Amino acid sequence: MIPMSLDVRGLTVEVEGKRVLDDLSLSIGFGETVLLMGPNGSGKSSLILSILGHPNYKVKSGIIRFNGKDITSMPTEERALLGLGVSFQFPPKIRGVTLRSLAKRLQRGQVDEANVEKAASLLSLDGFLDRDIHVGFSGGEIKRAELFFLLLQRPTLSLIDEPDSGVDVENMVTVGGAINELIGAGPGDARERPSALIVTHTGHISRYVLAQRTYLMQSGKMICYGETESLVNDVLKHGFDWCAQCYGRRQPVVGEPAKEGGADLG
Amino acid sequence: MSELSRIDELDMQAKRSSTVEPAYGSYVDVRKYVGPTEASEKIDRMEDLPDGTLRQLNNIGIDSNEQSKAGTYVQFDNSVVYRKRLYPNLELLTLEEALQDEHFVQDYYWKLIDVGQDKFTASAKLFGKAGYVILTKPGQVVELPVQTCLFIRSPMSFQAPHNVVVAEEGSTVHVVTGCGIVPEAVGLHVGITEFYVKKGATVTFTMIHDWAPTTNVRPRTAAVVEDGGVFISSYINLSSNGLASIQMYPSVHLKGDRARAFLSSLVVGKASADIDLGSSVLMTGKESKAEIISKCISKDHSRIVARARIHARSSGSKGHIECRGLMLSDTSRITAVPELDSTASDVELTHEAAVGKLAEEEIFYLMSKGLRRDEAVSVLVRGFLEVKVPGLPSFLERQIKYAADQSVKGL
Repeated sequence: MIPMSLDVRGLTVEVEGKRVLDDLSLSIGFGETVLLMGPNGSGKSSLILSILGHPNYKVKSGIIRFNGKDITSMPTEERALLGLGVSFQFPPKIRGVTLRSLAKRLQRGQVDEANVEKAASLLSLDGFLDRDIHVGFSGGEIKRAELFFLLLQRPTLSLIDEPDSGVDVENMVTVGGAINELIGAGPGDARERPSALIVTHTGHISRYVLAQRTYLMQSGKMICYGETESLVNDVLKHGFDWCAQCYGRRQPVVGEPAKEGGADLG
Repeated sequence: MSELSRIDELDMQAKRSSTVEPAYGSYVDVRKYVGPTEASEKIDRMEDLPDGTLRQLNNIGIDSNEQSKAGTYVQFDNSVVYRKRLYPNLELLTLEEALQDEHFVQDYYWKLIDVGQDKFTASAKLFGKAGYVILTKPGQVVELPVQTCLFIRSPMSFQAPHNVVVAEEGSTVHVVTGCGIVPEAVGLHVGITEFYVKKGATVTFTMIHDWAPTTNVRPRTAAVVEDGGVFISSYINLSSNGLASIQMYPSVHLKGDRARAFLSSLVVGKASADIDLGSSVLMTGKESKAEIISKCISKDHSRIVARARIHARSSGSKGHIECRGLMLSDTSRITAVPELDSTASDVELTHEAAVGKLAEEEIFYLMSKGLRRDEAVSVLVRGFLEVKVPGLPSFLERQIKYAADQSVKGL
């Protein structure tokens, strides 16, 4: 099997007895940026939290491999130390803890004073370093602060939840620029680059960040995947329900790189 | 009225009140502690103190390197062991010296605190000794802090200093007080402290306590602030091994127009500590402003009552209370009692009170950034105690931060 950044197979997850992910599979190759689309409540954020190992998200079956390692029951902080990073859609406010003080505690990446200033500057957060995390922040400021931590952590796989929701055009340029900085978009061997899974409701982020493939989710299941441009266009043109109808034609759904492995295909 | 007669009258009042129980706090038998204590020898330099004692003093914010201080006062039990004034335009006296001046006795001695308030004030008057008196000159801004230390060394000691701070018109003074006890000693501390903040003056009072599980503490503090004056009080109770009991309810009277008070207290209750802490502000001057912030953390079997009271009696007043309690054990108890009271319509009084445990969502957030659970908890607990005091000089901010760091160690 070709090693992949993230390989999720047959994942079924429950929260307080309610099924939120249903036999879901997805894979992301090294250096690949993948979009995840789906209607509200389809399970996109649940997938992110399951990959992170949130204690309320109980894995009933399936496996999550990260960099070839089974992390299905690994504690959250160990996943982070292995190189998994996250930008939350609705992170909590952390009173009494400033951006600067948390930045200094990050265990991955090179967190020195210069890098902290540089990352803050890139995200137009210069005046925010000594403010409490997310306290009194606008929607755009919250996204930028989350990406600020990711830039310092330098994860090999970034899970970025809804970077384009509630963000105005000016902020989108900054947010898109930071994500490109994070995944090292540009010339060079893609396999050397970090990977990203970007959850987006609108697909708006695809105008700023080059994502090779897009997955579609509905009701906790992965229903489709394909080349980003045509899929995003289809969704925007016809809506998620139309996409769900072509589900039967594409079964089973697993990521492109996984096909070559073959063993797990139904 | 002559000097003697006022003091005689105070003594008579104290004798009449020597069995009056205070409204709050657990019972302490004062008689067990009152008795002669051995006098401590005076020292010429702070460095003459034993290393162990210096370390303990350092822990409560008292610096043996006096370069950056306006003055130092050290009292062990009931003896003044060291006093040095480094800033010439500042008076730093012992209480006994100050009492030689009849004006002082008439104007500043037991004027804000009723000697007959309870058995602790009464006993302080009858059996207490020493205390520091700080007097500024009008318009004088003393940038460096005066550090004062009240330390219990003898067993069964009753320590009751009477301290007075008078900031004359337009002056500024920073007082840093550290109070503590040698680990093995049993003691009762009743510090009486009166602050007179004159027109346009600023007084900051930073008090760090580090008591032992055998110490009972009943300080009595009051301040009056005239027109445009500012009183900022920051209290931190470290008591890393817990303390027997503490009860205090300092009161500030914003008497002048546009007077301001900012009072914060941070306390961590450990072991079986019995803690009853409050702050109260009475506003009678127009357009005065008061803010009270109380943060407490309960562990083990500790019990904490956090009180806060703002009374507005004049128009244009603003007051806010923030009362937060963090429970770190199921066998401890926190009671938050914020109280707002107004007799004027044109006021703005608000409060927020919250008691609970750490939010799992916040712990998970930090763990997703790579922090271990225990690290995440300690970051959040420390963050809980963070207080931003407007207008505080940076050296005091640092000192408070350091003390707050100490107070959450090992939680």
